[in-house]
Amino acid sequence: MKESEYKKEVAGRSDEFWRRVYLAVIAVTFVVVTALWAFSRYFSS
Amino acid sequence: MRALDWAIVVAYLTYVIWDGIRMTKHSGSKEGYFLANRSLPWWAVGLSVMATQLSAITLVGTTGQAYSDGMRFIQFYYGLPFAMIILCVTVVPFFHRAQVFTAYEYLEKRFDVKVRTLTSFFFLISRGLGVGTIISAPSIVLSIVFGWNLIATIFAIGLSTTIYTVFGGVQAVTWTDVKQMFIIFFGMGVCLIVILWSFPPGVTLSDGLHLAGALGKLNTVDTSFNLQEKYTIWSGLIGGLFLMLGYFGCDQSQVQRFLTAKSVDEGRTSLLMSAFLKIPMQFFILLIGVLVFVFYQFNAPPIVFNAAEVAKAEKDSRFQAIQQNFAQAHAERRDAAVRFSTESPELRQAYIDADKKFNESRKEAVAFIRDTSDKGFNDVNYVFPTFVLENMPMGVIGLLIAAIFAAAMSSIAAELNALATATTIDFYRRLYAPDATDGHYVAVGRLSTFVWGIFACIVAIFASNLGSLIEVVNKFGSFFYGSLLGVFVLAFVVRRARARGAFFGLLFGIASVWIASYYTNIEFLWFNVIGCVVTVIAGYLISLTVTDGPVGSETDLEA
Repeated sequence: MKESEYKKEVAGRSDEFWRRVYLAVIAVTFVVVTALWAFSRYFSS
Repeated sequence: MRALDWAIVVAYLTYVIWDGIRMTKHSGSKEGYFLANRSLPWWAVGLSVMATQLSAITLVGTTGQAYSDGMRFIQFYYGLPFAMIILCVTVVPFFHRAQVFTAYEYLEKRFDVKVRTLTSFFFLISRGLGVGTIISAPSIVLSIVFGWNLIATIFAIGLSTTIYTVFGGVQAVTWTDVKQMFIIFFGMGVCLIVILWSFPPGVTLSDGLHLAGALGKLNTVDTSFNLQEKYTIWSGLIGGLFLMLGYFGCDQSQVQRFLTAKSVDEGRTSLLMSAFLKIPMQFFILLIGVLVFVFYQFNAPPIVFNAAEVAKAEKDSRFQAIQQNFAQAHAERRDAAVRFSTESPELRQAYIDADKKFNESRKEAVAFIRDTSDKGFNDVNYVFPTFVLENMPMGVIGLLIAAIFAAAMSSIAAELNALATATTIDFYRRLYAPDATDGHYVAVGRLSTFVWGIFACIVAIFASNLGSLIEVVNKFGSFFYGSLLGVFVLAFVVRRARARGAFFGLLFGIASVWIASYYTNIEFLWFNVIGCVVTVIAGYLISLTVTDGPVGSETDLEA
């Protein structure tokens, strides 16, 4: 393994990358809960 | 059950034991046996995390819950994605960099050996008893519904899991979890198709969901703030958040899953897999329960699903009158459901009224059984297995029994492996034999797994005779999680926290939850919040009284 690849493996992905992933998790959760709410409203009316 | 069903169940058990045992070759060293040499890919760890959480009683109980109470239970999981984010930021990198085998080992680095031993001890007690109930609960249901011998069922589930966990260690646990998850979802997918196929001609999935929705079975968001209401968006987001933080961040059975990942990034990704998939997955399982409910709008359901209780009650002539009323109420509701689905939406109210009458006649039957037989009678866990036995075609019954076994075994294996790891690493290695060889620790780990497996089966046999014991053990688990989480919050967040504060803070936290459970009507999800908050406050205040002692810090752990 080249030294640069080794450093990348140890360091892992950047904090900026993970911040975006966490925001995506929050956004998807919001969308899923909203979709569930809409689902129950639609079939309960 | 026919021969084909038995063949599928036996083939599943044989395959999973063989698959687990063949992992023995990767488990010769301490790192290999307990942590899979920290080499597993994120998707395998992620599936194992989800399989560990999905026990048989979750699978069977959730579908039964959806049948009787609708989809409200899904709110329990709304805090999970946020818990996963917090754990990815804090616990995953801390534990990986500290190179620990157990979550509690980390607490010795931050506090002292007493805190580590106390937390590990609480884990062993609560999980040791808990795994017994994980075996006993589905065994009771399956033995009653299918007429199997209870003790044989307990040992079929418990011992088969123990065998492959003893030999293969965490590698066996993880890779069998992956396959078990596929079996569970393949089985549930086939079940869904068969249910939809069983609807009367002209009734579509949309019609079925409108029937369920009209009776309030599809409520997924309840915004009322009531501490005595079990499932609301607030209890899920706040109480559920604390519960999930405690479960995934402080319970060795889950911590050990992400400690096996190749790197911090892979550990994080494995947890985020649950963050994305858990709510849709629970929706799918609850949807099957709701569709079972719809199925029974058109087909006569049992008056209660526990056949043993019905057989006892039928000896009384008063119960036969109740059964006649029930049959009539079902016929009226079925006609109202067909008219509402196929003729006019304006017949909605008539359908709701017919359902109310049906529920009253069922309540009468349940009250009769409670009065004459079992005061704590609860039918929820019998709904799905009874439905499967009575309505699924040959082959699908075997597949679904294999899926229930898979759900049970995936949780039991992870628990046994975690119990053995905590016993070996936190007690045997730390207190008795710190300098033994790798082979010696693996041998002790295998022996511990076997002993915990036998212990769990014995607890399962006793738990099956003492219904209230299951409740006690489950409550003890919720006492434990919030308070243990509080110790980790002290460790990660409160720099002023000292060992004495963490030790007594934990005891205060557990005591506060006991008091709250006995003197208030607060629902159990909130216990996690109470335990955590009391532990942190008490731990901090006690720490202020300590002027000496080592100050733990993140720098100690990042080295």
